[in-house]
Amino acid sequence: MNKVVITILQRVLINHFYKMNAGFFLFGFFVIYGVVAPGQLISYHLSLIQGMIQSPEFLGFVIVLWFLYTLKCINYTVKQLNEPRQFFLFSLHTLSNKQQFIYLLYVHLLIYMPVLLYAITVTVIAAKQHFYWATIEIIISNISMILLATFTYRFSLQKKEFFISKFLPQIHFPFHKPLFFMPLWFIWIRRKQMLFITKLFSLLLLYGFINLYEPEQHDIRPLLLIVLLTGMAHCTLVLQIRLFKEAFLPFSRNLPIPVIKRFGSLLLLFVLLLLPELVLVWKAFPLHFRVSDFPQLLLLAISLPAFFYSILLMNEMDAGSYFRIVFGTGTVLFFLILYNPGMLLPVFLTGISFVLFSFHFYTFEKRFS
Amino acid sequence: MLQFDKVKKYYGNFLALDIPALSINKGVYWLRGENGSGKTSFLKMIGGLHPFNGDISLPGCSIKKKRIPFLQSVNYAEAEPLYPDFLTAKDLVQLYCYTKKGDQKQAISLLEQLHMMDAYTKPLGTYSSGMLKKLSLVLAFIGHPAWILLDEPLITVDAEAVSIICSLINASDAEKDISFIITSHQAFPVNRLQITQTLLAARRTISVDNE
Repeated sequence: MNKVVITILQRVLINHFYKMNAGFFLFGFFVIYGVVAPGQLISYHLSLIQGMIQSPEFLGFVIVLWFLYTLKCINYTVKQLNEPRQFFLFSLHTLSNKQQFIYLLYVHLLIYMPVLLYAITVTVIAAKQHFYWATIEIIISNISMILLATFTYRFSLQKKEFFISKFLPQIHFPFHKPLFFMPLWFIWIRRKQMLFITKLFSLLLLYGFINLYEPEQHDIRPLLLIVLLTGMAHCTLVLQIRLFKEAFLPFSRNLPIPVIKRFGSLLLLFVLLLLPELVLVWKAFPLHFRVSDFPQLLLLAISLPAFFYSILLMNEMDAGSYFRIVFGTGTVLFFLILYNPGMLLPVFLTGISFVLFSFHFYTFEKRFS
Repeated sequence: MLQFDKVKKYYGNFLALDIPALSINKGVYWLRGENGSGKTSFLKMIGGLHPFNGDISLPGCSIKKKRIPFLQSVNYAEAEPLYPDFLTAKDLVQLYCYTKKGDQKQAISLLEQLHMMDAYTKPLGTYSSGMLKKLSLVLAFIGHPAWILLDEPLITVDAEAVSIICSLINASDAEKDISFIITSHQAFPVNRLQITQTLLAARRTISVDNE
């Protein structure tokens, strides 16, 4: 492998991936290593691994999580390969198929590394304890996912259609598209894979919680925490909505629409975006929540993306800074929810989002470098 | 009358425009100036697209204090309009007619004059840059504006469209009392457009050219 090519791929794709997903990895690190006392960390993970290799259902769930991470890697790399500023990478196209494959495999292995290291650890333990089916399952699933990702990158590099796009629905509604609906339409037709992955993660998380967790007594907090996570999972889509509005809808500032109506439209947009979750959450009724809890769930679900959107209006920021803010907000809200603040929290979040939105909507301006 | 009070436009720390006081009476104005002299920034401030310090006002309303009535009275067409490619001209005409309280028939009549009706329900991604320009000009005439701001209205459009746009500007000024500020690097065809006066963008300010 050529050192220059490796250096370029490292800088352009791999380092950028970890920089872009700093918030995601910090959050993952917290969930995996921060929930138990340091002294119990190894025994906790060994018990988790024992659970995986002994229970086919648990292992299946973990493989689904690894697959979601693979989809995240695919989505990132394919998007980067199609960015106009990365067009120079298409010079790799002149290399032989084998060389292209090796370079792209190298890229994927490095961005897949967090999962790969954990999977190798689980495989070694499973093999040592003679759980051969689990060992084979883990090896085959990981090799398949790695090959799937690498071949997808090659298709993308060769400007062939990304295979997932073929399976996603192509629906074109001929009806009038009002202003508030335009960003949703943009996400639906231009950020299809991102929408698909976000929804898959968000709905699986909610579905898994509803089916696997059985509360002993009524407590809205666990469900609120899951709603918080699903709201946070939509932060990438919120960023895309913001970028779309700034790029294609600046003319709308000349339209005489009151700020409160614009903010109301934003909330309505997020209701539509989160509609699948808001419908699925009723599967948790009446075990996890009462009817009187629903306004709290609804308002938390939509105020969170509204807050992230308003934060993006405050100043032009790079994706890394934005995701750090999302992670920080999520952490603060996580602890606030534990104190069971009731309607106060989502109402406060909506209120502060409106204040930020109304203050910055007309004053935001792209930075001139 | 369009009035500017202590208007300053910064890009970061760079002062791009400084207009301590300026009054522009009704009429058709040609805003001239070199590249980077602040013509587009000037129009975008009036159109509500760019933030700035100070205030801009019309009789009875200012952009800082009564933004909605102000924007009802000011329409703006960009030099290089950019719209989502999945929208249609119909989507935008309906949006502008709804928000600017305009007449859809009037907009359709303008589109017909500019030979745009065949593409009325087609996605804007299929439009040429000239067609997008014509659409943005039609949108700028929707509603009941007192002022229409046109940034380089004559670029990328064909000769017939230039003639129609000039006639439309003259008629709107004469019959509907609509005023215009128009930027253009090319001199206007003298016999087609009746310019009231020229505005000069130079030395980081805007002034009425009395020469």
